[in-house]
Amino acid sequence: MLAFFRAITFAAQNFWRNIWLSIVTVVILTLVVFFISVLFGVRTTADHALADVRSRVDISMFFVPEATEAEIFELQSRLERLPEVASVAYVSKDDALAAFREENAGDERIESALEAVGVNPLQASLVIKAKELEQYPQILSVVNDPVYEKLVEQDRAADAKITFIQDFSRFTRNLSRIGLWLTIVFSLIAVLVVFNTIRLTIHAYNREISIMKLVGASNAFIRAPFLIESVFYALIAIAIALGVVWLVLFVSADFLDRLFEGFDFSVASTLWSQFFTVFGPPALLMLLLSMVSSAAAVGRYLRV
Amino acid sequence: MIRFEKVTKVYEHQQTALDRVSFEIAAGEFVSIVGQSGSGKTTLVRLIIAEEHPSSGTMTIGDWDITHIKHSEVPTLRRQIGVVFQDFKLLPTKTVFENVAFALEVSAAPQHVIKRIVPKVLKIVGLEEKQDRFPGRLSGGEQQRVVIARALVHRPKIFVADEPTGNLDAINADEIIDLLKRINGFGTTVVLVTHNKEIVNKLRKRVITLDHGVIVSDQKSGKYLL
Ligand SMILES: Nc1ncnc2c1ncn2[C@@H]1O[C@H](COP(=O)(O)OP(=O)(O)OP(=O)(O)O)[C@@H](O)[C@H]1O
Ligand SMILES: [Mg+2]
Repeated sequence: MLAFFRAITFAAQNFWRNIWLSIVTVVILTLVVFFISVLFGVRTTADHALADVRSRVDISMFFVPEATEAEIFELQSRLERLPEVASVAYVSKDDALAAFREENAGDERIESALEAVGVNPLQASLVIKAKELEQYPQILSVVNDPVYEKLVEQDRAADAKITFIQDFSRFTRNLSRIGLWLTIVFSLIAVLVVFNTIRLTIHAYNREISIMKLVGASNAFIRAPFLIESVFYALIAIAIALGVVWLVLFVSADFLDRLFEGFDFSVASTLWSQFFTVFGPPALLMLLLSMVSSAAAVGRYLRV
Repeated sequence: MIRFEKVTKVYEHQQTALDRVSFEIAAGEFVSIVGQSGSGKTTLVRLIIAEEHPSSGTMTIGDWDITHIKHSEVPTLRRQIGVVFQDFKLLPTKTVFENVAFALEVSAAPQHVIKRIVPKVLKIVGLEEKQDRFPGRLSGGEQQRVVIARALVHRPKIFVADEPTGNLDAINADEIIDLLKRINGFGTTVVLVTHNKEIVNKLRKRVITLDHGVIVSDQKSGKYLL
């Protein structure tokens, strides 16, 4: 316990004695933690946006006017039995008309047009939600059965919707791949910086180290201050970087919400509520890398 | 206390520094080791403190066979052996007191032990008055005495000094030798490596002479031969 306390004191001395080197190291680590955190934040946001879009996708099957409700219900229950289907909702002609009227309430011309037609011009439909986006084509192929073929007109927008979502998910996948590479590059920079700083500190402490060896300080005690020093660097950098991330989120919360208007979630509050699950991993990564690279420098340059 | 049995040390490039060296030093003895430059004296010291390992042969300290000493046991060995080299290594930014205390701090000694032992060893080397000075403001002899004080904090059973007087004039050198005799007087085994003919002849203690890594003479009350 006493030894541990002393090791911390020694680490603090290392830190102060090379204060400029320490500052430079902390600044670089802070930038690295900040950028990696931003990458993680962007990734989380993109994932949420994608999930949001995915969950809102559905496809409608419109029925010809001659289709009877019995036929439609039969198709509905057949669709519901498919394992890929999450839900099937029936929208009758009347439901469709009511919804249409509500959407266009107050529009005189539409009202009068409907009066003029006299009958309900809208089609009954089934609104289908698949469990996975990729399963829509398969579900829709059910209708290829000649029994249903003549009853159904498919959603004309369906293909476009699916293509859009697929593009969007490819985009987020690419985004995470680029993010991963950037994270690796930034981490590498952090590793090199810490390694070099510890190497220089060891060099500066040559005399102390050889005295320690000569008077019988334990190997662990000689090494510990340098490892603790790297923990200092990482912790300070993490504290500053995450503080800045927090501040940026705070300042730009409204802006982000406007940017993601129409989505069913708020970027800032999502990231806030998951602050440590989103930004904890990059912070821990940095702490770990910092310790590993200082351990490497100690192993390489501190022959005990 | 210290036993070498056919100890050979070959450095890289087939540089043989010690060649089948055997001797035994009893507890409480004062032994001088002499020899020309490159004869293997420092190598012998570095073997004793396990800074180097023998190529063959066996070495024991007390009952402890340190021939194949484990890495993790080296600190334990070093606390039992006080060592002083010619180039006194003091920390220029620490005072005399702090320099000596440093040896205890890094061995996890509690503060009250440090406060008790440091003044004691400073008194032995006669520097209790100058404990708050920085090394830069001490004479060479005084600096070497600080190093000796630091080597004494663990109450070593063995004290090894490699040319402790190498950088000192005759008067300062004599003071250091007197100090070593005092330390020997406490019962500590002292091994003194030196070039200095006068010192050896004046000491009238055991002298081991090395030449090209071989012991060429081992006299009970010896003289500088070469
Ligand atoms: N680390 C090393 N690697 C290779 N050879 C070495 C090494 N250290 C010492 N030697 C060689 O071993 C031999 C003995 O060296 P050592 O330092 O023991 O001599 P010494 O008696 O202490 O000399 P001096 O009186 O000059 O201090 C020398 O020939 C030296 O060149
Ligand atoms: Mg030598």
